[in-house]
Amino acid sequence: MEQKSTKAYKISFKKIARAAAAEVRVHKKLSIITLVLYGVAMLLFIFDSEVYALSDAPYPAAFYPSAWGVFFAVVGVIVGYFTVLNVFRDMNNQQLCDVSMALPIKASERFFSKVLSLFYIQIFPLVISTFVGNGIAILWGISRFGGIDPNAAKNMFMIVLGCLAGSMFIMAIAVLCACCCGALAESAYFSIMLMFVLNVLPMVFVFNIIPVCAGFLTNWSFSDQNFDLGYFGLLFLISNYDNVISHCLVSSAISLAVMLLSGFIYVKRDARTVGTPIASKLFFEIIMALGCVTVFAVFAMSDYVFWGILISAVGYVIINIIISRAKINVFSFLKWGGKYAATLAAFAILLVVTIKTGGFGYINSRPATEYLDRAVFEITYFDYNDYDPTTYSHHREELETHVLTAEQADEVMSICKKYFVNSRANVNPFDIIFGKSYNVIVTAESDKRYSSCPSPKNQFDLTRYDITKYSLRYRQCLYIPDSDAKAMLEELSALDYFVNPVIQNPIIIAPETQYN
Amino acid sequence: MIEINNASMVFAKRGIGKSAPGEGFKALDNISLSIPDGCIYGFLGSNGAGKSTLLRMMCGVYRTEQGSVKIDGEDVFDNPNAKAKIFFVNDETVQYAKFTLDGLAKYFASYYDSFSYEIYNRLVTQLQLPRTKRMSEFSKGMKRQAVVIIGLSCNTKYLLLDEAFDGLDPAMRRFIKQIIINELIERQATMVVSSHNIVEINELCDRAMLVHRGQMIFADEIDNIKSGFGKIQLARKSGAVTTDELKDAGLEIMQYSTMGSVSQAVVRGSEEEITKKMNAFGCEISEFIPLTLEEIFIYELEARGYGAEINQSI
Repeated sequence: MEQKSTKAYKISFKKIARAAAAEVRVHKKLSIITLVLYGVAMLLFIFDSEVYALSDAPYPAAFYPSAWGVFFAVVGVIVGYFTVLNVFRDMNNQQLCDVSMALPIKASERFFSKVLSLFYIQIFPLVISTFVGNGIAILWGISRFGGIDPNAAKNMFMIVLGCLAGSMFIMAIAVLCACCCGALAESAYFSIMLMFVLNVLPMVFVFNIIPVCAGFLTNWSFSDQNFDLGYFGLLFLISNYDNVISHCLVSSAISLAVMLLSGFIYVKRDARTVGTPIASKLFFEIIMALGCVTVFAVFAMSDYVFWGILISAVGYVIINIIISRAKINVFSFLKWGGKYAATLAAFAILLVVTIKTGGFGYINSRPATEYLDRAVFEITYFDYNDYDPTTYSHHREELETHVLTAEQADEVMSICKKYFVNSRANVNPFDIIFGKSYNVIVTAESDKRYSSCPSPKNQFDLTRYDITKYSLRYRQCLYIPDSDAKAMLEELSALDYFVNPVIQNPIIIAPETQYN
Repeated sequence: MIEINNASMVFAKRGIGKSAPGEGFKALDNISLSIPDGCIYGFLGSNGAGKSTLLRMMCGVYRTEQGSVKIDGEDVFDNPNAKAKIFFVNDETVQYAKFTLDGLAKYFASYYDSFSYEIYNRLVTQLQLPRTKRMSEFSKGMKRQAVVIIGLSCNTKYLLLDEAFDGLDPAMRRFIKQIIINELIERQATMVVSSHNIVEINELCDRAMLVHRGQMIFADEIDNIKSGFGKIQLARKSGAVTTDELKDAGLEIMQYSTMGSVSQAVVRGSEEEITKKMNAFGCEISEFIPLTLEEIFIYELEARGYGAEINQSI
């Protein structure tokens, strides 16, 4: 018995290699198209890359890889998506399924042979062409100028591994969708949906929702972000220069893992699910929920929340109608509506948690005291109890410090943080979800220069002022209950170094106080 | 030997995984069948009866969730050893459109160790098919010939053909059948063929099975099947023999009609048994007429309301 189970898991590499070669022959046209694209890319890398002498640089020659080479390599990567759809066509075509499943080869061997054929058609030509093309250009530069930019090799690997990571990601998602869908159309558009979700959702959540919940301004200048998202998908494109190579390697490894894990679904399937739009109900529900959440996330924390709900609802219903094989009746709509409402509710709960925890603790982030040395603080408060757009400016109170010492800056920061964090528990989260504006703004600026910061990329509060000058800048804008805001102002006003910028006197808080 | 024991097949509504009881469409219901080595077995059945489903189960395209399908004692699903003994030709040829004949041979040779280029070359020469032309440019009949050539060249012990002779003209049909039979006889192989053409099954096969709505109606040697049915004509001056009389005599009636004093019935049983029973009616004229396989097919399905349903829907 034990012997039998061991035999069941044994796979023949010889069979896999032979079957992979057969697959490549079947998809000869796509192989040739891919080879042509990568061949052109390689030639462009060799002949169109710029290598020229520099008189004032510490190295003899600069190296700029060919942009057109990159373009053709990227087109080749995109062709990989169609290659996967073709190689896994037996998962959604009954006639091809009859042929492939009747072949004397195990499902696992068949799956691995298909993955290997993808490597033959896509990955090997991609890596070879980008590596050889750029490598020859660099070697030519070294032989001609006696040396080259030390970053040349790094740039070359960024192209090689960037294209590899992109190709692996696209193929992994397409393989997963081919294994989970029983129709070509669903394999195709679900792949695109999933690729979109995997790239957009983390970006929107991390760069928009979390900062908004923590009161920080959203910062889409990715290179200055504290969050390093580029570990999967195409997000390595927004990694900073130093991390691209490691991110590409990690991303490729994750994609390979996704591809291989799809094999578990592949071997579980037989021909009965061929032709049905969705072979794995669980996969479908997850993708639909993630798709809706992505649309919600894009529109959340703004005045356009209802547009997000409407657009995702329409998309949700249309996709359900497309994939529905049973008769559509009023109960179908009720069922879809129920599932959609559950997804919306789950997302709302997630947002409430994010708001209540101040962006999972991101609200606590503060600049290091040493960088707040000689900081200038400005605290602005808007009284929303009397909110009226026409009289908005008449209900504003501002506090401003003189230039503070490091200790004073730290004290101000601590008071603000105390109120911000505590008040998160009392605020109505839906005010924030529906885009209600902040009522307290705390801004601190330091005249510390870029050169004073040992690792400026890691300082969340570092902001570029202009091309040459940097300054440490911290800004937090929060909606908190008015009572908390007023209490905070009172505590701050008690500090003798605060002044009211309008009247230039220590401020006195009174409910009836209004300034013109 | 191919052994099918209590095999059932349900097409689930929910994709991957087993269906809940009562959910989905039951394509096969407790089918048991033995296909001995060296025979030519015919699968007969109405449209959508489950013939193709059964063939797909036999070659491992469908997983058997209830019951078992064994090839020489081994389960067939996801078992390369068992599958290496089978070649399945389904009812379409569109999947081969982008291959050339030589390319298709190379493709299957990559998977079947038993693939014989000797057989392949011989048959291609015999049928004069173009080797390097894309199969999309072949006529329907040529595609069929090509797939049959590949099937025979794979040199497997079992050849499963699902309506494989469709699209062939009568002369080519006869020619291809002859080629298949010669090859199979030479290597003592077994062929299972499904077809709506009962005359063809009658000519080609030594055994047959009739399946209807996923249930097996009969499976036996064709001679035994034929000898198990008969049409009787009885004429009696005192009045036609009624169904009650026939039933009382122990005859199992599948169809009955009368015209004046003449009654006609299709009954189950051997000629000897039926003749003995009908002689007891004391009719002036009593006659036993053996049925053809086609008539048996029609009467069996009519007895299950098949024709009546279609007439009603018209």
